[in-house]
Amino acid sequence: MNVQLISLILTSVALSAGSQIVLKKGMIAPKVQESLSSGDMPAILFTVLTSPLIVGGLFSFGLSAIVWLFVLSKVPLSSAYPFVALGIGVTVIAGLTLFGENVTTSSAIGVGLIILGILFVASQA
Amino acid sequence: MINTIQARYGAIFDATIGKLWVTRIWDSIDRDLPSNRQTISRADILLAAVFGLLGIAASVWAFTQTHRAPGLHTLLDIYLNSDVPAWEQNFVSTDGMHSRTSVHPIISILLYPFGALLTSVGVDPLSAAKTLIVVIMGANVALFTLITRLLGLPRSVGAAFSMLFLISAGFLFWSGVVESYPFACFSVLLALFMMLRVRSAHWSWWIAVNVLTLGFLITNWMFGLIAMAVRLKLKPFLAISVSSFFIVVALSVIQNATFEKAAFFFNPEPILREARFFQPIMEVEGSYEEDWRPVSNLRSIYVTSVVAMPVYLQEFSGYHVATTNQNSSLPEGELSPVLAIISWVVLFGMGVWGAAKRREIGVPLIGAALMLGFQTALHIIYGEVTFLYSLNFLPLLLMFACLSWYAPYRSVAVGLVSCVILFGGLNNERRLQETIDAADCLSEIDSVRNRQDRERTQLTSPQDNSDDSRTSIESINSICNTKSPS
Repeated sequence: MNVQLISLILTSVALSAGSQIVLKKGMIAPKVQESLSSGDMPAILFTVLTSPLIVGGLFSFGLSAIVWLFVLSKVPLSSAYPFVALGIGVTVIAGLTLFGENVTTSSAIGVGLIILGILFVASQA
Repeated sequence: MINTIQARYGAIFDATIGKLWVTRIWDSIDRDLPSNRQTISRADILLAAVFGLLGIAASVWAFTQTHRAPGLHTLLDIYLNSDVPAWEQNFVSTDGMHSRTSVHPIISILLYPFGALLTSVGVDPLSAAKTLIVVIMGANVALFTLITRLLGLPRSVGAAFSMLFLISAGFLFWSGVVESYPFACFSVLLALFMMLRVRSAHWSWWIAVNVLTLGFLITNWMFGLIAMAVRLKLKPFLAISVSSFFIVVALSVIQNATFEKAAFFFNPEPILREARFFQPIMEVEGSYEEDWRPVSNLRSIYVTSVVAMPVYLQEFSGYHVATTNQNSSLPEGELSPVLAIISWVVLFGMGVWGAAKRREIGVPLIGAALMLGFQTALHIIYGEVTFLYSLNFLPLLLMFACLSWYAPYRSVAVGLVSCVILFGGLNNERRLQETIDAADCLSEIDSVRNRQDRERTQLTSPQDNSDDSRTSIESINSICNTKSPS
């Protein structure tokens, strides 16, 4: 696997993980939370679909899918897909730093093992 | 005379054990390491000396940190269940608490002369004991630097891993107190050095390695034996093993006559008493506040030795309170320990991967894997605070991590070492300060001091909890601003 393809895979993973972070930000925004607690379905849909963060997150998600399609046209699925797991590492760190979520030692070890696994897969590709 | 003994031994061996199938199998293993491997040059010795000085500086710094908690140096156990005050006495006095020679067979007779020399030139006893630790920690880093070269690492990469050793939790936490493990660590490093040496060594070096590994800690003899098994045929292996054992026995007898409370390591009774520190036994007896958790022990061996965990307070055997990090949770909201753990896990994994690819030193690496396997099996059941023993297996963990250089993606390995040094270093420094603070706070609590005194003077039974004045662990946590892991 050459550097260009790895860069594309990483771009797709970054966009996908980034979209999760932005979507989370959007969904915990006070306006969306208020709307969710009201229980009014049309109002919830309107608030969610007009939230710049949620729309941005969905756009990033879509963009990651497009890049991923290009990756799949060049790289075997079994080699490319394990890289998706890198997103777990990114989201764990984001959860800790941006949302104050708790990370356990086991989670950190698990993320390390995932990255190690990805390196193994990449070295065989 | 030695030549005559050697000739007689050779004849007896050839006529008896030499004819057995075990000898044929043992001797059939190809132990010759490639002669084109990296040897130690003058520049390497210079680099090792520089890291030795850095190790000394780091140890001095660690002592300046622990200095602010005077109780840590006078009360048993409060610092991660260690026996600091006992060792402070043992290194400089013949009438100290030398009973631990039951498992550290000749440590008193080996170290006391150095302590006595320092005190005889006017150094106060505590400073003399500290000086021994500072010097040996410097020697440990220097020896580790040489080992990185024997593994074939370029100097710059070897220097990065030596730096990793310096900032590791095991190094930082145990270079600022007087304990026996820095010396055990030296003997382990010496065994690894001898195992990886290119040229074959004179038998007297192997005697020294075996006397030191066995002499500093009974279970560490496995390092000396495995290192020797990797490099020597059965005839010299048996001769050196038996000779080393009897040298240690002889020194132990002299030690027993010289040091008032010294014990014999070959007396099974005190050794069997160590079974009370097996976690499964403690769990059954109810003398351990926390259940036996093998996964926690594994985590402590493979992670906490490098990336320190937060401290909390624990009641041990129902009668003393001490700091521990055995089952801690990661601190909330801190990024550095998370990044350090992730980087370390990947680095160690890459090291194992690299070891599998490093065929030219395959036999020594199998030896190292056996050593690590033995330590893992031992510490998965033995000891209340596994981190107390970290200097025994830390050199092995780092040695495997060094081999990440031989896995694919060298640049990733170098990046990971840098991450562990940076984030692990930040985390370890903070955890060290917290541990010292917690130990300091504990030492200020009257009931904790009283319970420690009872333990030392009356050897109170673990079941005896009938002290009305004792402060509950919850109250102590509240006083010291610590909390038990959830």
